[in-house]
Amino acid sequence: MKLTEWVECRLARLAPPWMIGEIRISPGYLLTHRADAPEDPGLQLLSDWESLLELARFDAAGRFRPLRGAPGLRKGWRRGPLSIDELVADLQLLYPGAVAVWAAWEEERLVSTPFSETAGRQTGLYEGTRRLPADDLSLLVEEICTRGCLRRPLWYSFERPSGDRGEIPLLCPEVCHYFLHKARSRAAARKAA
Amino acid sequence: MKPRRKNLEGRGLILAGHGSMFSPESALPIYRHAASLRACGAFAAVYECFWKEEPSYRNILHVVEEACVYLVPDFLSHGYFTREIVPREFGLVGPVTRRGSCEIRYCEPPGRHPRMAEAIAEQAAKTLGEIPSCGVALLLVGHGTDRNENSAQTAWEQAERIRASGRFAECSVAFLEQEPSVARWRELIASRDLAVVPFFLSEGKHSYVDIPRMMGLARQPRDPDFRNPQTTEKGRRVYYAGAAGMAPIVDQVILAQVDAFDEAHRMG
Repeated sequence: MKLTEWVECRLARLAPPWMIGEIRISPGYLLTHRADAPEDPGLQLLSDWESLLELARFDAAGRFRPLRGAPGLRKGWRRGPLSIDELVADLQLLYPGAVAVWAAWEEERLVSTPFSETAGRQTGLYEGTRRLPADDLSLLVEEICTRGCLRRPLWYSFERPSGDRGEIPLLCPEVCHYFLHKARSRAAARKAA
Repeated sequence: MKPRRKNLEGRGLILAGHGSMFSPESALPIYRHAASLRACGAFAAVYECFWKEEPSYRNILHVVEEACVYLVPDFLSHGYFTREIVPREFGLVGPVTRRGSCEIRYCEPPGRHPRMAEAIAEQAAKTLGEIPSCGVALLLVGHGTDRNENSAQTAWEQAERIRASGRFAECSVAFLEQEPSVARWRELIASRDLAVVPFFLSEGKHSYVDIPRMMGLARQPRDPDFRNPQTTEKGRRVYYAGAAGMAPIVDQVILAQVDAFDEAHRMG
């Protein structure tokens, strides 16, 4: 089954509105920030992919958001109504990979990659991540993943998502480059100390 | 973009870019190439992914659904990323890799294709406007590094193609971090006027700041009073163009690399 068909069937079995990260998906499919009221006439319509990309990549203050799962998505906009293909494409821009990973998780074919495996294959600048002490790894997970990102780091903890009604889980099966970058800095600081 | 002659229906395309955690502009050409290639409808799906941004190379493999996908490293030359990082992260074993039910065809970077010379010339012509290019030199400025010969080699090859086309009075190559240095542009170019094309995929600090500064230009592209051309000593006029990778035809160069892959490997 194609991913779009899977999503359409899966959403039909969940009570709307559907939530993913900071996004609300209303029937029809209409996207808004979950803190906004979809019927608010003051919401700005995002009609093209460039404006959606801008929303995903920059916060309200115009700062670049290198981590898409980080909280702080701008409010005050709406998008849609969308076809199911457009919905999946939009979610791919907002939370890359999240929908496909959700499908793989529900179908029990998602394999997560432990940090040691990701770090172990790094070369060049990131080779130092292999030597990150376990205590530092926990601290970074707390700082980046728990407080700084809405995705659940399955590569660190296999805690099952709560499965709240209408809530689409944001799952992270492998450490991201943002984390690797921070891990590299931390490992380098340790070495220098 | 014009409709394609070859039918790639049912096949996917992955554009693997570099991206940046600090410079939002780095990923922009990849997003534009992907959008344009989606609009042309040649592929069942077009995916963009990055080394330093989301979606990552590893992440995109969860998303790809096609049984056959072309993987194009959206770079200007071969180097550490195209030779080591991309193959490693995608688990490639050669030009053709089977991963589960998906066949991955690893193409050459667009910067190496002969048609990239057209993209470079297009950027120069755009900045020249009505000025006839045959009386102006084209200076292609790459990064260059002593650690990798490919980066410079690709620039030299493209410059040779531009030279052979006869479209410009002359065509020279210079670099930021290797010889010939762009700081010596006055010695490298005999013509009075020149168009400078940064041989970079995206705009950024190298194209906006480093090259103009090393050339000794009074104004940089992001200065509010920046204008083309800038007149330097002895009345020499410098037309400063956009980065090569931002040329609108780069999407066609990517398609050409997909075709070139199938031709080189005799695949349908």
